[in-house]
Amino acid sequence: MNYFFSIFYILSVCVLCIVVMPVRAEAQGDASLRVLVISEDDGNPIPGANVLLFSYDEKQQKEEIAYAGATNNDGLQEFNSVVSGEYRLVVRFIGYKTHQERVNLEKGELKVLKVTLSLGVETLDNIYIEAERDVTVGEVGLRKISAIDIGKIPTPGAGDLVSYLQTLPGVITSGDRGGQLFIRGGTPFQNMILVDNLPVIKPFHISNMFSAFPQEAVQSVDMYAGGFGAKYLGRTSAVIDVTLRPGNMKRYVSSASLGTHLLSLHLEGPVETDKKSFFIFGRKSLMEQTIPPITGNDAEIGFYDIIARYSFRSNNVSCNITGLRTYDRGQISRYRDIDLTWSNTVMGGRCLAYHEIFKEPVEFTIGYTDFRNSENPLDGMGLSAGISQIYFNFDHRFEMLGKIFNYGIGTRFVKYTAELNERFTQIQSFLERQGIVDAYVSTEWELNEHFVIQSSLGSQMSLANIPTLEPRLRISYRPDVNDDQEISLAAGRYYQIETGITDQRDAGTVFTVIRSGYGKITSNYKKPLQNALHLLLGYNNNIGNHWDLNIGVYAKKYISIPVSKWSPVATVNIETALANGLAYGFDALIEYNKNPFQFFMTYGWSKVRYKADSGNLGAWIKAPVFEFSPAHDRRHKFNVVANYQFSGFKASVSWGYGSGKPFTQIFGFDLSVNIPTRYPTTDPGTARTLYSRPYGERLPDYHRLDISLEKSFQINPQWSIKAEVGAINVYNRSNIFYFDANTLQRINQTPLMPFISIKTQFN
Amino acid sequence: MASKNSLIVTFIIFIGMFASCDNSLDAFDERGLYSVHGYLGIFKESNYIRIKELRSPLVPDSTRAIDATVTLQNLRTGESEILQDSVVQFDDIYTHNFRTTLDIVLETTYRLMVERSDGHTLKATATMPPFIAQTKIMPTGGNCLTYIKVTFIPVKDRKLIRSFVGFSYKKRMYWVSWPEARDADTKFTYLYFRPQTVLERTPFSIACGDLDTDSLYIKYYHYGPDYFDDTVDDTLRVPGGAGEFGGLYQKIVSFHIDTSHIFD
Repeated sequence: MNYFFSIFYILSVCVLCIVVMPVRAEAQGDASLRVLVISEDDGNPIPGANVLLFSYDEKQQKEEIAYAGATNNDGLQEFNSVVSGEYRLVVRFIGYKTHQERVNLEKGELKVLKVTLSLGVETLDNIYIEAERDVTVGEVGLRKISAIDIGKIPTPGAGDLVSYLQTLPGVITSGDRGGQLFIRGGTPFQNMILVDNLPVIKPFHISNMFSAFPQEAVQSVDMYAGGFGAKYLGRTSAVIDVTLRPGNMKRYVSSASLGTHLLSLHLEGPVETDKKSFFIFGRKSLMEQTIPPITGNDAEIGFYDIIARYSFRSNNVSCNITGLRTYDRGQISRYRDIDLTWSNTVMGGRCLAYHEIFKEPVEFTIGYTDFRNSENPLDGMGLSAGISQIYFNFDHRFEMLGKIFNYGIGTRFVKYTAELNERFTQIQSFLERQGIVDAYVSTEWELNEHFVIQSSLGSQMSLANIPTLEPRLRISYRPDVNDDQEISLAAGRYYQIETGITDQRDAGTVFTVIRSGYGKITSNYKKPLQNALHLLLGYNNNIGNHWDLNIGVYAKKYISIPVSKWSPVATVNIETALANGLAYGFDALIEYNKNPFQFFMTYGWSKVRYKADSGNLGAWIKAPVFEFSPAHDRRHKFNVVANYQFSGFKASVSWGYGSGKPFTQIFGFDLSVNIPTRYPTTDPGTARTLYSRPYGERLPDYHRLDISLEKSFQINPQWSIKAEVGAINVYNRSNIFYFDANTLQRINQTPLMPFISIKTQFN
Repeated sequence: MASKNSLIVTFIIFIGMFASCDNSLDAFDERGLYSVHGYLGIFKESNYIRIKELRSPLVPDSTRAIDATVTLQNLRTGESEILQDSVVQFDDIYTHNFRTTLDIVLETTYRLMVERSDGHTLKATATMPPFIAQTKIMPTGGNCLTYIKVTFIPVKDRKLIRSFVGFSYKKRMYWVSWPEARDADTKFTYLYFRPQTVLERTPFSIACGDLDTDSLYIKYYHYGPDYFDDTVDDTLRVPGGAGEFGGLYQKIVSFHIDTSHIFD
């Protein structure tokens, strides 16, 4: 497999060189056109709208498409190197009336047009289906998720991003609590989560049904399960890039929701019509109060999240200022007296300037991110750790030799802190600071009408690390020229400067210590930075008008992963050793969308193996190298989600199956005597629980059925009420979460849990 | 409508198939039988070995009785003895310490067998050291700043010796663990220390003149040759079980130093 990866690494570097090397400029023009597409309904940008430029072909005596594209999340589509002349501009998006106008581009001209689309006759669902069809390029490893996708999963209160993600193949959670996602073999801290370009460390709540990203607040999400480009630097496994919805620029909208699990409030509206808006969304968990009477079990968990946005847009610039605050508190196991807390605070702004004075649009992001987490035993000293960072990113592009190059430069000033107690002998309390600079450049090369190559190169560096070199490559082949079928490949190298350390042997805690990663150069020793090699191959087929098929195979090689050191004695341990890992597998997703019935079905097969030096790992294994399957190595995962609309109702069903994950058996309970200095008849000894071979056995399989039924009532044009009833774990399966070696208890996941919620909305 | 119904029925049957799957969990490794903590000491009249059933939680009811028959056999002579349990209670936990009066002699291997009533047996062996090491202490008559070398003759494997330097202070004996080394010429294991440095390793500041007597002591354990075999971590020295079992002897030697001189 090393050889395999090496070949692709070299190949990707070669292709990158070819692409970056001077190439013959194609016969292209020098005019540019930027089209900003706005919805007349709420004054906000429309992502995914089709923007077409038709020219008149004198020879064939007919119009043909000269340039085509789809708007990005800012509603912007840009055409560069356009041959000067007269064009017919067509902007269309299902659900809106098509816009047409004549555009005349002079040589060297850069024109910015704002197009406002008014609502058409189609329903909202159709907007989604057709919009995605037009926008999706089926890139390997990428899943584009809309707010409507998120709403397909039966979730108390409303749809939530994390509930949706768990239905995707390759996405594993440690159970129903803890807020940890493992994506295609990667650990939670190897995933990058961005909200409007601002990093957030752990936005997933302690109940795995909820995150800081409810359906109502999300505009779109791009989830890269691997193979992402060099624009995303700093993580080695996956990227979840969330774009939030801006506030309504036309009118005030408010809603309130109350249910068995959540209380939520939402308010948005214009500060200055068509120019400035605000958006506030907040939720608070009620589970601590409502679940005990329903299930008969305590629910020592609570959380809240608040999203606040201020959006500003003129003809030449659009800015979003975003604030996010989350807080979680509770226990993963009710048998353990350990209170866990974590919180995220994110504040920042992102501006996109597309004024004519800029030859190319310019994007700035500036922000502050803070993450704290703690573990507080009721009978002992607590632990706490966190990370704070201030960052600035600049993204731009330039044209060289007839090709467009995107590039970006970012800098972060990071502070890592941890206050640990005496249990940790190697890792002491610390405060570390470091500055990190990163940069990338990427370009696309259309070889012919079938092949497109996208290559990028990134680098990160800090004072403690030599600069990384991260070439990445994506190739797509469209046999039919159009979007119906695509075969795509992605490969690349990924580095991570900072690392998160969690004792994954103990699922009863998710306390994480974050610190600057390995790679520090000492006088005589250099540890390698945590890094990964990705190789993905995907096939996407839009079958007919209503079916989508995605098949993917992947391999990820992880190098220098910090894993908990092993000792036979069961104690909390966040001392780490370095392991290498290999994750590989395949997955398939088939989706059907035709009102009133929609469903998707996913299957994923994967294998994750870690390998470490037995001595470093601290294992009591005799072999010099210890190979094991970590706790997130779930071999099979199968999910079915279906929605059916009838008589004003929407019924949703979600069923998921996962084969058993590895766990470590208990070898026994001992009362050890430190011989020969102590003697058995006079010394009571030390009580200890002994682990067996790490991850030597597997837990029972997991499966769960969730259902919901919802109906909206339009009281008057300005007031609507939506009611929802449903149940989690309908057939009350005792799905194991983990076996707690400290309390000798089998910890099960959520039992049968009915839910109800009611939401009222004013427009 | 018929096709929709059959789809629903198929789905329910499908889920029912999974719902009937085994959902049990065996949290314990069946291979774990007993933990053993004890050693066979050559100069001791009787030796005690603590045995504990690994699957029994550390609660009074589970520890009150033990399902174990413990036998010790001299593999050279074939002589064997069934060990008697002597229960010692610490707080509310019962410990089972099996006593042997078998003669423990040099260069002999003993086998300990712990048998459960269902026939599962744990076996561990302990081989005694082949000789009693002689100690050579040089120089004699030094003071607290004199470097002293204690050589264990003819022990060449330094991991078989574990030693402590001791002194009497306010009518109590204190022992400071000291690392062993191997002589490059003779290959013998030795200790090398300065008394003042040993005293500085204690948590309280003691001057040489504060000692009760002018004697220093060397306590050392000489382990049998197989004591550390087949082990990586010291918690699992008993194959198939846990704990620590082996053969050794303990000796204490003393020597005098000049404690009258007061150093600045």
